[in-house]
This record gives sequence, C-alpha cells and structure tokens, in this order.
Amino acid sequence: MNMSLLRVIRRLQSSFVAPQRPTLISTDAEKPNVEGREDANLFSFEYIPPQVQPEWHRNKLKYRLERMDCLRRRQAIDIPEFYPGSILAVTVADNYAPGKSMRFAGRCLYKDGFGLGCKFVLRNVIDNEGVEKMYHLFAPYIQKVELLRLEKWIDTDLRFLRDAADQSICEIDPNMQAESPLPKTEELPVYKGKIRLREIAMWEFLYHKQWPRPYNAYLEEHFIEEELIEREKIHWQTQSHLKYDICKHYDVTKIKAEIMDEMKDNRHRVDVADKKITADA
Amino acid sequence: MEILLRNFCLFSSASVHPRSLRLQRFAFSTTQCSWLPDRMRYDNQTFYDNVQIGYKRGHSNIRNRDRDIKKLQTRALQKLTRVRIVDNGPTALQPVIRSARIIEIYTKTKRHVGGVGDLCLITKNGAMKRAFIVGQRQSMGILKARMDSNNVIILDKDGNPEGTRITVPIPAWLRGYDPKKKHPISMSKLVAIASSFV
Repeated sequence: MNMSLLRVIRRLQSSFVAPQRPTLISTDAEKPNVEGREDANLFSFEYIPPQVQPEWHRNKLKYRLERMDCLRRRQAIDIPEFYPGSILAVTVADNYAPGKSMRFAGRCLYKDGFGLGCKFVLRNVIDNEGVEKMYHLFAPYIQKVELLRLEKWIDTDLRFLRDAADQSICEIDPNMQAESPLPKTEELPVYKGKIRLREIAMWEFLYHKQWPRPYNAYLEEHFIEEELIEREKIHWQTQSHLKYDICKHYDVTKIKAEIMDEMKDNRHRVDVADKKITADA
Repeated sequence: MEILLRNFCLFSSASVHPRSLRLQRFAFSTTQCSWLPDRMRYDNQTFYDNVQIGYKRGHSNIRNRDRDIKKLQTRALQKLTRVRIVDNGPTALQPVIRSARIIEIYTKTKRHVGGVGDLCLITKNGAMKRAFIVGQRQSMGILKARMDSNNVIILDKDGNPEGTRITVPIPAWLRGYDPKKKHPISMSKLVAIASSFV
C-alpha cells in the first residue's frame, strides 16, 4: 500500500471518537401529585385572592400575610383536601356539650372565601329534618376535621340538594367509617350524575337563573314544554350575555404559579416572624 | 327584563372614583329568596379548562360582619308565617284545618319579626297558644344550625312545655341560652325533653 494513504487512514482512525452509551434513566423525577391536587402547604382553594378591579386595588402584602396565617393554622391541625360534594365530620369545642366537644357529619354543599375567612357548609338529614351548619375552615375552636368520603362534583354550589326528591343523598350516618381517599398521584374522577328534584312551581323554581347553570341536577323534569320555551326566551334576554362577561371569568393560572412560588418562601417567613414575637415577649 | 345602564363621565384627571364607572343594573320581576344562591357573594363555579371563576367580593367587611349576622338571626319569622309544631302534645297531634300560623312575636321593641329563641303566639284551628321558636329556615350564621322548616314548641302560661318529647334536632346553643323575656320560659325543661342536639 501507499505510505501516504496509510498515514491518512491512521489520522482518520485517531480522530474517531466512539459515541457515549445512552443512559436509560429518565431525568424527570416522579411527581408527588397530579396537577389539580397539590400539597396544601403550597396551594389550595383558599389561597386564591378575590377578584378585585382595578389592579392597583390589590394589596399583595395583605394577601401574603393572610396566607402565612393559614400556614400557621395548618401546622397546628391537619386539614384534609376536600371538594364540594364530599362527606366530612367536624368536631368543635363546646362548653355545654357532654365531653366538651360536638361532632357533626355532613355533605359539603359549598366552600367559599379567601384565606382565614374560608367557610364551608355541611348538610345532614337527622330524624327527617334537614340540618345545615356553617364552619370556618381555619377556626381555632375546631378540634378535628375528618374526611369520610372524597368526592368531586362538577358543580361547586350544591344548594339544589335541599330540593332533591331523594333526601338519602345527604342522609349520613354519624358513625360512618372513613373510606380511604385516592392518593394524590391519581386524578380524582369527577361525579357527573344528575339528581332529580322534587316538584316545585315555576315561579318558585329559580335554580335555572343562576349562571353557570347547575350540571348535576335535572332542571327540566317537572315543567311543560311551554314553560320551558318561555324560560329560554327570558334567559336569552337577561342572562345570555353572562358567559361573555370578562369580569366573571377569573383566570387563575398565572396567580396559581405566583402563589406556589410565594408559599415556598412563606414557611421561612413564618419561622422568622414567630421567633421575633417570642424573643420580644 | 334587565336593563343595563352605563354612567358616562368625562374625566381629565386621575381623581375619578372607580365606582362611578360600574355598570348600573335595574332588575325587574326578580324575587328575593332566602334559599337562593346570593349572586353578590358567591358564584357557582364549574371546572373549565384553566379558568376558575373565583368568589366575588361580598358586601360585608370585618366591621359589618357581626352586624349582618345579628340581622340574619333575628329577622326570620313574622306574623302569619306558617310554622311546624314539633313536640308530641295535644295541639300538635290534632288534625289541622288550616296550618298553624304566628300572630304575635314578643320582642323588646315592636319589630314584629323574630327568630330562634323568641316567644310567639300561634293559632291552630282557632285556638291561640304561646310558643317558643326552636328552628328557623333562615341561616343564622356560623356554628348555628339551619333547619329546613320553621319549628316551634308549645308552652303553658308558666313556661312549661306541653309535650313530653321532641323528635326533631334542636340547636345546641340553646343549652346556654337565657331568654330574658317578660313571660317565663323554663329552658331546663325544654333541654331535658329534647332528643338530639345539633
């Protein structure tokens, strides 16, 4: 062979670098929760601030301080995640009760409010009498909040259950055993069943006037076609614009990301603030 | 028919109060119901993609909150409200021609409205009896139970209940309640009769 050819071949051989062996380990770590169900210390329904216009009316310091107070309460007691439609039992301190505490179980009808003002309502049917009780989520007199069954409904306002034909939806045994909820790595299935309501006259029946209309109820059952047509006409005149109203749609994706970033720092802030208070006192 | 009006205001400086730019709304033919979702306070949310309809700023401040709750408590029942008698006395068990109604409510000021914990006068089949209100359909605020019907217990002139048992749950805050009324009411006997507290 030619010597120059050999030299060329050797040069090419020396410049050859074998490729690296591909690694089979994936770089994304396993997420501890699905997107909708975050850890309560990072994000929860109560941390979303109210919709305030114009933008310069929002006091972000005020919101941050309120979220810090929520964190402090969450460190003292374990508040589980729940949605309207799920079944809870709450024990509350009461002076006049035997054992100084009262327990009430019920189905959550709605959850409303920002920060420490977050309230929820439980409904139960005892001795054929429907009873509803409102609680503050972060109240200091609440000793225990137990999740008996975790459900998620499409509607977040279930007040139409008061007029349900079958009241056994809200009849909850106070000695009911807690069912273990789905872990946070799995998505909760949303309940899409429709509930039949009892017979009410059209002038009394106003659930179809709220917007958005409730999904989990049969609203057209006890009415004749003429009434429904008239109701559609009124709805077109008075309420068809609501879905285009920008002020009613509160886009929360950016705010959620901001809140999650903030809550990571809030624990540190809470520790620092509490140390200062104990040091001064 | 709802009419939407917009207040037009020409402004050159930045000192205009933003409330004047709010849309004005005149709504006719709407009735105010106590069991309806309150549109100013709460918005029914549905889980759209990436859009969450947040809760609306309500009327009440920290300063107004206690005042609002007191109003809620005391304005539930008035004259001629139909009422459900809840004990097992003779008036409760008699068959009814026309439903039992309230005639008078005994409060300090003559407000003619009352709620749980008030005394009232009731007619049933033409007979007038004194009664103690034990449950109301209007919400009473936090930690106080709201019943699905306006419940009442019938008392004697001495304030003792007529019946021997109450089947329906009773609000638990009546255990520590001292009704300061002119007419006597024996709360201890009412509490002893009750079967369950809520």
